[in-house]
Amino acid sequence: MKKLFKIKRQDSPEGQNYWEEFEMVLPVGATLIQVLEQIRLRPITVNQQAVNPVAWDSCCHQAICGSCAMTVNGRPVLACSTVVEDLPEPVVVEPLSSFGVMRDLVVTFDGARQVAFLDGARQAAPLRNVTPTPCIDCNVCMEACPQYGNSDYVGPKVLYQMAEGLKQGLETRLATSVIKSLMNEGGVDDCQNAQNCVQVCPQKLPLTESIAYLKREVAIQAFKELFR
Amino acid sequence: MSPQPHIIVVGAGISGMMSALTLLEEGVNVTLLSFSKKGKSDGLSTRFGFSASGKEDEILAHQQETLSAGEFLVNTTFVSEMVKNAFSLGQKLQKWGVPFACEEDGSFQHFLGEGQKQSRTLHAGLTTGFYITKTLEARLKAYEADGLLKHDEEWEFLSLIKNSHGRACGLVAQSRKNFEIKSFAFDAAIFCTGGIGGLFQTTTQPAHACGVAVSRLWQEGALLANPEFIQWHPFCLEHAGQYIGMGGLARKENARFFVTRAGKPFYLFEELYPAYKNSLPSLVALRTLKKYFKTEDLGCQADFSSARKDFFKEGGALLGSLNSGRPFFVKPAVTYWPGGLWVDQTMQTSLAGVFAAGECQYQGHGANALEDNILLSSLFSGVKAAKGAAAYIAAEGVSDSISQKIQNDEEARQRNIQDEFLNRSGRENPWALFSDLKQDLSDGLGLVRDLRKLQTTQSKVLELKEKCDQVFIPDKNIHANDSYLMARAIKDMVLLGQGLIAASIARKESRGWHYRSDFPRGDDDHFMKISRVVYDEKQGPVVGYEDVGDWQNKLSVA
Repeated sequence: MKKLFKIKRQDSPEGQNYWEEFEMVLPVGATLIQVLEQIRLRPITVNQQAVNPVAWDSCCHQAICGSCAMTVNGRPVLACSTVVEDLPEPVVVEPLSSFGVMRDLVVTFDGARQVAFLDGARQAAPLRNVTPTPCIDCNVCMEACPQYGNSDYVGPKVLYQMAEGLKQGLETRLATSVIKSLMNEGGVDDCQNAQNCVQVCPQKLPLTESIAYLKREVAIQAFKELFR
Repeated sequence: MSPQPHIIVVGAGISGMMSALTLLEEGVNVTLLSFSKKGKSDGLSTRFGFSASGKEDEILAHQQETLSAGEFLVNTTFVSEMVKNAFSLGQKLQKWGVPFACEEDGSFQHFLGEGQKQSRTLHAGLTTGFYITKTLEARLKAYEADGLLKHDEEWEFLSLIKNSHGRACGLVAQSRKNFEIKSFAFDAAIFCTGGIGGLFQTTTQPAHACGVAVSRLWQEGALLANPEFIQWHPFCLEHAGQYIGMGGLARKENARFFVTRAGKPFYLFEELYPAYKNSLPSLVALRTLKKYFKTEDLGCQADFSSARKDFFKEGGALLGSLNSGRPFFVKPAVTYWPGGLWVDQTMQTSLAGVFAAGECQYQGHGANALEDNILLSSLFSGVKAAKGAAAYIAAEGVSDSISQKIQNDEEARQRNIQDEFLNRSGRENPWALFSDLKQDLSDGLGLVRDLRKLQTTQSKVLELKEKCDQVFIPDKNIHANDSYLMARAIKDMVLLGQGLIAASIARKESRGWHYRSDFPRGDDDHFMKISRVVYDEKQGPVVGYEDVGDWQNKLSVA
């Protein structure tokens, strides 16, 4: 099977991006990771020009570590579980656009805002002993969200994790301060209900249900404060 | 006031995180240095269970099974402590947040583990390793936010710095993000750098699990123990070149394995091993399949129709796709390295001040690891190495601060090596060499070995070693340049491969995962011994042996 790939490249965090095309001969069932591995062995473009291998991130290749998220034909996916066979050509591969590019398809998830948000909640609640969620931290939902990156919105992944933490039953006092932090700018109210997140999540997590749960909790809290 | 001891943990997988947490609980300053980004490690995809029982007779059975599976090439004290501490470790993890499956009364639900006749294995969801990793990671983040832990991610270990007495008191590492070369001083270091599955073509481990740090320590004088044993897992699902171990899940969900005979399914393990059925030891399963097929392709069919309804729903992106209910094909892949760095009773390697834990050390398993002991030994060795390192500093004192000059000199030496690499005019693509190495090691160190194969592989690996000096790096970019890191690391991988082959050639018998068709029987008189491999710059690997002592009595040791 022959397939044409158009890959967005960038040499450094400050650099300009540019496109390069690679034509690959692939076995049936090949994933995007295998395409990138092949380019590494023979980094030659469709115009027979020798170039630097494409840089990307990966770890488990089993869709459970969440390292290899990138955008393929406009949709955020995990490269390791994306079979390229049926994708329309040229297959356009780009880094996640809501994050800073380190190089080519490698992005840095700075997440200072998310950390601050979670830490606000953490200081309120003893999050040391919390059952982890099945979220693999791949950021695919963050990329798909039209709000994330355009505002201070903390993003679906973080809200999901906070909702699951709350559901584990915190003391009322602690739960209240976690919910209050969600009422700040960038919190649940910034979700505009586009529902993209839940459609792209590789783990098929009920992200929108979690956000709806938080919205309800926030509304109840606001109501309480009104009549205090 | 004496200065605060400072320990560096290299590697942030399950054992590295456990080491760091143990030290933090005891109030020791820790820096965690990891090759991968935070929370991205091999443990995430570990689907084995966690063997732990609180009952006296079961602890004894657990110990006996562990020792006999490993054919005694273990540190008996380590195994004995490990099985005794397993239950309390499980309780601790549960308290921290690992969602182990429980009975209605709140006690642990026990599943059948590999090679177990009695159920004593814990599982959390479908991927126990995932939940353990995430739980430890969340706990570390809390320490980090409180300023008690520093976690530097995406650094590759390059070399050690020793003081005039030969005690290691610093290391030099290179940032994967931007090529920065930097030294880190310490009073003791714990290496938790994982396995070597990445050196083989078919593996359940990530591609970067190639033993580079282990090889570099070995070349600096650390000993390797039992490196010839490479563990396979018979029931792996192939997904585009990556292998997913299904055995742990199969045992948990009572799945069945069969081969087709005369057009009908034949459940061979249930027929041949009624005491174990499908939870039989992997080694026995593969030998049985081999006897049955007499070919290299030792696959069989996995039937998960007995699995709970939620099984496929919980299985995430890849396992969810198996939801048709039809049996699927599974075959063997490398899953673990029971050998590794030699360590003493305190988990110290043969280098003063350097400790090791997790898969990169040899102690808990011997010739064959029981799969449900793997998470256990990673966690327990992490705790033990942390305690060992803290005790070492208490006894030996903090290291006399190495002069800034020594640190600067080593940094400068590493920068020179880097410049030399970048200016090379060779023609070998490092990724092509890596691919050749995987092919060669898979051929020579497969499930069935013999002298001819091993010697062929040995000479191929020697050729590769020469080619490593001809490696060319067209890509001079300082950002996220994995090609450069591979170009530097490939020779270390090749040397380690040489060590594995030398130990394999020297062990003229069959034991555990080391099967020689030219010596198909075990030879207890000569080889009931732990192999120890020294690196000699002139001669290459030199193989010696360590007695395991009075092994007959080991079965009765409680």
